Amino acid sequence: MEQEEMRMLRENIDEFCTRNIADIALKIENSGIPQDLVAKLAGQGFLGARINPENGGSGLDEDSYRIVLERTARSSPSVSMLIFLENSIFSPLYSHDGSALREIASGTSRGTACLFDYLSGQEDSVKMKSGKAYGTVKYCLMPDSEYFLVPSDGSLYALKGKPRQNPLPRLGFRGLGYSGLEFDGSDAEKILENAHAMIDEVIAAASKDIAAIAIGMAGATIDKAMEYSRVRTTFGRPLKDYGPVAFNLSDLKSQIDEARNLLYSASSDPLSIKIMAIELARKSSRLSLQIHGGYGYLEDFGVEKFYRDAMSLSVFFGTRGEDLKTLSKKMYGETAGII
Amino acid sequence: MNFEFTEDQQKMREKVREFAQREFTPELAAKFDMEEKYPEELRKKSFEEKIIDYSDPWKVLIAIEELCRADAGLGISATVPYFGEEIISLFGSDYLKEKYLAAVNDGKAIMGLAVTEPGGGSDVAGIKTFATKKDGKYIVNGGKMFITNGTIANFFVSLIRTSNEEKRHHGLSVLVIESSFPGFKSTKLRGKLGVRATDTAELQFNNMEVPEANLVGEEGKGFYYVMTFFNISRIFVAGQGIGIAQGAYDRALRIIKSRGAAYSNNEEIQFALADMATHIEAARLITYKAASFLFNFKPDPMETSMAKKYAAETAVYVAEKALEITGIEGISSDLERFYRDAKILEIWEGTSEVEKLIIARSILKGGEN
Ligand SMILES: Cc1cc2nc3c(=O)[nH]c(=O)nc-3n(C[C@H](O)[C@H](O)[C@H](O)COP(=O)(O)OP(=O)(O)OC[C@H]3O[C@@H](n4cnc5c(N)ncnc54)[C@H](O)[C@@H]3O)c2cc1C
Repeated sequence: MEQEEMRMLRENIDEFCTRNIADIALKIENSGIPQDLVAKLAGQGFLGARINPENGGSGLDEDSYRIVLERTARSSPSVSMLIFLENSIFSPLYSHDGSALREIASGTSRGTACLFDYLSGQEDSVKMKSGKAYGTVKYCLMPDSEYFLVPSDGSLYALKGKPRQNPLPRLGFRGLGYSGLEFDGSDAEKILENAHAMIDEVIAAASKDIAAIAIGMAGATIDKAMEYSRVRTTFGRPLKDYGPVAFNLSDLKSQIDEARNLLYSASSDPLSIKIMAIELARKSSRLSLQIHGGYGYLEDFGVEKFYRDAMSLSVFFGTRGEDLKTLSKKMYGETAGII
Repeated sequence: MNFEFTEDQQKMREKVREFAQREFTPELAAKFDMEEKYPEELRKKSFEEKIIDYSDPWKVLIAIEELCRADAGLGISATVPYFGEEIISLFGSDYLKEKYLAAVNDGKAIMGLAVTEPGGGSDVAGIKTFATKKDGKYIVNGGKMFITNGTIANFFVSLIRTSNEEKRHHGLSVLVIESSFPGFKSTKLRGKLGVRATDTAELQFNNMEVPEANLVGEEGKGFYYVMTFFNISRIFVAGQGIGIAQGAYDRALRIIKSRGAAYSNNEEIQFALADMATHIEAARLITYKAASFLFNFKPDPMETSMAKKYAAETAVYVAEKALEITGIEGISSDLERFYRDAKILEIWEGTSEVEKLIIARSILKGGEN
């Protein structure tokens, strides 16, 4: 995409976020994404960003889509994660059902793929019997969804109906909800045989999308800290005058800018950008919280959520260790780092 | 050099561990974290069972470690009713000791320490809350920020400006302020990242009258009293750090072991465990060294700041590593609370940056090397 086009898109999304998200970001954390915001996100075409226009989506190209993820993550990582879950994970796995995708794109339904159990190497514990699902999913983001994609015995099933929820501690992305699920006879339809390879592929293909969320978070949290360091004074000087404050912030800010350039460059390696971006989100959120002192520790300043979300993001779709193993294999051209 | 605790102190550790395991159930810890409520019943129980035994400061340090190892929010809540006590016991009149400390020591009152203001916490000498004297009373105006026990304490040991000296820190004094004084108002601060069972509030003082007898020690010496206090309390914050780090490590290890040998044979995991354990051991040693100076009445501020800074960073480091190696299972368990709780230690009672300033000042001032 042309630089100028990217800039305009960025500005439009920023304006949308300022108008519709910034003021309720805290409310989103505490009580979820309100339906009127969901409708607005759908209206902008964000919820179906990567969904085919035939199915009610906006069919954005990759870069535009990632700009949406990056910029929304700056105001509310939960909102960005919602867009990501629908477009990068759910819809590629559920592409055969146009009417469901239409509901997702229009914000009338939500679909979530319960992949964390599989990705963390847990045995499938949901079993299918004559078209019905029984058993538990340990970890599910967005448990209030209408559609659930659940791996079982190597295949992937689409489940409908409201399962019972087992609440879990919610470190990050609180606006989406997080809990275990218990299915007791929900309707189940097999949508993919030998699904593991496809799931792995979908997750791998989402690397740069995850990086976009991480870079949005990193950028926002460092910008907030830089802004704060201009106005907060200690010992009669603004914080930015102190070497360690300015150096650490500037160093991270420049790394984030470089990572962003790589993100939107077609030749960059998705996995290494993902690893880099998540690391930056973690470091930046920790530093930003620290620069904000006591205020950083309170939710009102909108900084602590990045510290929680960054850590959650770093384990949801492959941990750093797992990603490095894949990266090593690629770098060596053979298996490496297996002991 | 002797690295052993006495038998008596070891017993104390066992006693507190048993108490914490019995009382700080995972459900209770999660509940108070979720509801941001102060666990008054637990405070009473820990008092009744003499979990904090002031007859031996080592026992206090050990207790803090073990309580925070079980849960920092509840653990700190159980130990914090005495926060600021040393300022009165070291510098206060017999009247103040009798009137205020006695009730705290009897478990009948809760106290707090009010230093930080909305305008700043690191720059202690820059505080603005002001007292003027009138008819043998202080009239106080201003406010304090982030004050632990702010809505539950009966009184606060507060740092107040009593004169505009050229050297800012010479104009500060400590007053004991009761929450029942007219003109006192406190507002609970909600939505903390961690240690959510502890009570935190903003205080406002509006033409509040404070009897002259509530002055601690001498006028103009407040800055010195508060700094002396921090050189004591930072040892105990280091203890919180050791406890949180140890608790996060215990939980991560349990998860790793439950995954079987194939998992724990992975060198990436092994190195992480080794790093975590080494950091914790180093934090212990530096804290115990600083504590041994203090408890033998030869406090070394540099050593104390090193201990506080290192133990705080260790808590954050270990909690982060613990989540890294346990992944989704870790963030979906009570380990995630340790990650949230740990971060406060790099902020309260001197941020890590302030500790570094103190350490550096000490290094540069010293004649040796
Ligand atoms: C949950 C909680 C409980 C608390 N309980 C109490 C209490 O009971 N009583 C009490 O008095 N206070 C309490 N505090 C306040 C706490 O001690 C302060 O938040 C802390 O001292 C930092 O002050 P500040 O927040 O004003 O940050 P600031 O002083 O504004 O500092 C902001 C950032 O700048 C950094 N910084 C400042 N100066 C420099 C410099 N020269 N060089 C480099 N970096 C610098 C700081 O390290 C920090 O990272 C509590 C805070 C919290 C969050």
